[in-house]
Amino acid sequence: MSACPSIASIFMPSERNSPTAGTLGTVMQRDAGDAAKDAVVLQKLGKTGWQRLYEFRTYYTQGWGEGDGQPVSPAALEALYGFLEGLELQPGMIPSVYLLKDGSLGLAWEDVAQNEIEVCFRSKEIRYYRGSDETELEFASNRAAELGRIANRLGSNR
Amino acid sequence: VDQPLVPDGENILRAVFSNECDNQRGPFSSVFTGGDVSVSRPRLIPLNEHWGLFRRHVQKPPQRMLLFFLEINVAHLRDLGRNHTAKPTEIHVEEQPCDWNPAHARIVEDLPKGLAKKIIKECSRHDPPSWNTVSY
Repeated sequence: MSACPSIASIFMPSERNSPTAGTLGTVMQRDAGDAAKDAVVLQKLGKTGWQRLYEFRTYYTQGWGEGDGQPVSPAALEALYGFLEGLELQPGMIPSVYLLKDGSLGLAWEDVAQNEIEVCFRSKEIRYYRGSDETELEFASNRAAELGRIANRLGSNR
Repeated sequence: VDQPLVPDGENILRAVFSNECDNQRGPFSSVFTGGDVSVSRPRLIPLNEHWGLFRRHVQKPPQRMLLFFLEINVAHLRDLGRNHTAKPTEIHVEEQPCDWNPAHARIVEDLPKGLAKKIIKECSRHDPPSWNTVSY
């Protein structure tokens, strides 16, 4: 295990001075490979997405919200990373990321025809939604990378 | 469904926080999916008192900010569920008062994403009375 503060220090320069950084959150040790994952998140989700995911991982601890919120599911996070590695979207197309009460993570964006796409990463499965025809599909989490690679084709249902 | 149902004539409020909404795309389907979705009843506690209630008990600044409330009539919500062609859904809104919010209720069912998006579009949105820019 090694601390990997490089990207965090770039985007969160005032974190150490934040009154909540050390009191509400849990800043965890990170694996060496996390730098590569950070880079993928930054590349595919941009600064805002990277920052939101960082906050979800760091500050949303057990019991967040109304007391029943779950921290980010490690399995969901791994599936998200795998999906993003394979995902190739058109330039300027940047998905939004969100967190659900059960610790699942979601991505939302629009395909080239401006139809909504949402992908939800749960601990055991991935749920894919295509707004153009309201198709909802379910995949095993271990197919995340494959799903990322074919996401563009799934989005186009013509 | 164990508890009494919220009557069809009532409206319900869904508080939307920064983890389930962003500036670019607004609220995501997660606002109404997953099952056991927390809502509140403005008939019991007026909307203007909900801001303080939710800020005191649920909001955790600076990361998790209360952004706005969505409001919809229960009968309309249930109609949307029944008429959702991709997967007709019988929606139940159950009373579930709790210590910090006696007007608390919940949507029992895990709704399809397409239905959740339709519901979001049908809701009235209430921004904070003294709106100021929140970064999320």
